[in-house]
Amino acid sequence: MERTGMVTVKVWGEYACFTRPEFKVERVSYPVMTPSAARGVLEAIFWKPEFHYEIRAIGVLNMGSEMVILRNEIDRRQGSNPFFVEDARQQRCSLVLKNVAYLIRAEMSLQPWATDPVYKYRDQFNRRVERGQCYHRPYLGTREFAAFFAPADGESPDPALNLDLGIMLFDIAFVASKKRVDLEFMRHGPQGARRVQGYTQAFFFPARLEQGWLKVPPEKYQELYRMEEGENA
Amino acid sequence: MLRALVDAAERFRREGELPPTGYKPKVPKWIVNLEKGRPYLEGPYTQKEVRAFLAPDRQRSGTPSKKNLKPYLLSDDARYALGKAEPGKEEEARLLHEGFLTLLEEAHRETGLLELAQLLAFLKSSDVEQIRERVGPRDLVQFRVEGKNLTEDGAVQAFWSEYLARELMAKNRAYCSICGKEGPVLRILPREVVVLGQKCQVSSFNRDAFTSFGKTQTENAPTCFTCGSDAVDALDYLIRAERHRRALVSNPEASGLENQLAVFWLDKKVELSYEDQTYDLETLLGSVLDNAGGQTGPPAELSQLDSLLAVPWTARTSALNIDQSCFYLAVLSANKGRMVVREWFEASVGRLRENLRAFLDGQRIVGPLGEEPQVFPIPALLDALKAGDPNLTQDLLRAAYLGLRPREGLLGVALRRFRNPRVLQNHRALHPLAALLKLALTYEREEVKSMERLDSGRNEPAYLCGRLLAVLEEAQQRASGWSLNSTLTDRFYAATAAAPAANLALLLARAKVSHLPKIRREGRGYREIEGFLEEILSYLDAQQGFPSILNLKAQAEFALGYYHQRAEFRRKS
Repeated sequence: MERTGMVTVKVWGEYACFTRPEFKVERVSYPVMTPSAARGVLEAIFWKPEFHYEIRAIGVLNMGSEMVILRNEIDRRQGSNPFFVEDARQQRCSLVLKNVAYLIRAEMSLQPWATDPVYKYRDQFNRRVERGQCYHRPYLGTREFAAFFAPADGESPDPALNLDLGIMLFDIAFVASKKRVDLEFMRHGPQGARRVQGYTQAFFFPARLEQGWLKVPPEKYQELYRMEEGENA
Repeated sequence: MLRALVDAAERFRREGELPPTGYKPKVPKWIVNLEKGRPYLEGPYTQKEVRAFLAPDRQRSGTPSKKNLKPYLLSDDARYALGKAEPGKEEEARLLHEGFLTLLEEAHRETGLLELAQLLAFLKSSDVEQIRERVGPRDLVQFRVEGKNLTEDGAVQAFWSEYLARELMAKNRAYCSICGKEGPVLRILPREVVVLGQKCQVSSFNRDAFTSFGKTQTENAPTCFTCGSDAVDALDYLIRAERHRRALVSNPEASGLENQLAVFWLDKKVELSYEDQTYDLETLLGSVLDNAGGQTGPPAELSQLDSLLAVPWTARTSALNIDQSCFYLAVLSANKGRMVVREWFEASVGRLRENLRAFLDGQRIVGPLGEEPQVFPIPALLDALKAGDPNLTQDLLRAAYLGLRPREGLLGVALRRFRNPRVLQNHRALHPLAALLKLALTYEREEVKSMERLDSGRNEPAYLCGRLLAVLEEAQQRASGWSLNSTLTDRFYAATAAAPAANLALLLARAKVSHLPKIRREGRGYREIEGFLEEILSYLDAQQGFPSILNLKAQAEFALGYYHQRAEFRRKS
């Protein structure tokens, strides 16, 4: 039984902010979508615990331009205790991208306990993309920057686009651990979902646009899974 | 940006410009000299009287306590260095001084320097009393032992760097967001930078809402000590060095976010050689950001750049390929203790040359009194706009360095200022505005040269209408003997620029009845005015008369037509 299948989707939007961790308060966006943001878009369209996405490449159809926006935000987390927003005002700047479009090419990879063939999920994904269905609105980096999506229509990135992007956020590993408890999160397994305690670890990779494509190294996913599974075991 | 700063740190360190890790230039108010164990106090000094020295520095904030005790090694204010108390804060001074001594003892233990032992012995003796009485609690004190400034000692510098690394590390390991390597990461960055008078952290998580995944402080932006300290040291150097910084918007009364500071650098130092003269490329490229500071002409370096762009560039060292050097630019502001990056880009010098040429050519325009065409640095253009919108700064920077066409928003803001009657009468404000309009209108187009001054062959209806308004104003001025404080443009410019047909016919009729006969009667250049009127009206007739309304671009044409024609009259007079 085939356990992996490729999917491709075109996404675009008026604004995008793929925040760099080192400038995450006064936000500065990476110039190109990160693999974790691309995964988020795909999961918004279709996701089941039986598979996960591994981003293989992100094609830049439109780099967009950069612009600065200043917004009123709040300086504390929202919880069950209400507070006056006026007492917690914080103005924050963001260097965001405007008018961007990408092609996301990802591999759907079945979890070990999945019994159905991968093409069942792949076809479901493709049908949802064609119909414009999504579980929640996909977004480009932050939720206020909604993304539009459609099947890839043959448009391809500019082959003259070559750029060294430096070290870029790859994804975040959620590591279950009893020794270091920073947060609680959901973990899916053969028995369903359960709450576990642990911490997160950001992974980075040297990013480079070559002929308009940002290639994502597959071995990084193995490193990430090893980290997530290592402490879990 | 931080990765480029880490690379820049390597360059500046190679050139001997960067202080050692965790060091910063400071000006002491008092110098305590220890000669054979006997103290001698020099001072008080002012900033001008004594040279700054490199001293250990670190980020320090909050109320000092046993848990928040952050002395600087070897040189600190008198509360730390000598235990001098502020009124009513004797206990605090004792605590701070204890912290200072503990740090010195640790440094002595690790370096084994005899001078440190000598200094410790003095600080623990009763001799310190007489010194303590003379200094203020917040005065910066420097120590010299046997004529030697201990902060310059290599062993002390190495100790301070290792000590900071130990102190600032988080207990968990992570991947560094700058170099990508796994290892211990910083809990907080070593120190702040000062952006236009405001202290701020390069990466700050000073509110609960800014953190994620249960992490605290700089663990949210995992950075190893080497990358973090190098990036902060390089940025601090760039912000302080005149050669690398320019204030684009600087208003001491404005909030931090309104002010904007540009820092720029090349990946390596490059000197240009032309006609037996040597030019520093970094200074030349930065001249586009120079603040003219009220002078009438462009800054000297900008004029040099303008001339040098017309000739091929050769490096002083033949091994250097200038075009492949990389230029970096960041625009920064401060926002409540946090640094804001308003703009960041890198570009090769080869690409910059073309872009700067297009930018300067695009804005070059005749002066309002018919002076030779001139170019302006970006702060002068921004000052003329009086808009305070960071996106306008970004537009101009991107046009200058990256070759991106300015957006239409720039045209709108410039036009709003241009039609203000006060601005129309203010030559110094009008010239950069006209340059901006020309830039937005002719950037990388054929007209870039012909629109430098009056283009009498141009038959764009909007341009012709602008010229016509200037001719009618001149007729009014001549008829009055140049005695008017306000002219018809004060009242009619804005309306005419938006809807020429509704106003120009009326103004023309009035001029024919009131102004032109008087000019003819009194011999004040009637033929010249008549010549211009005939020329413009014949072109307009061929273009089907006055346009009824003008869009933004056409209004810019109108403004330039008016400006050029007026400059032409004033040049002749």
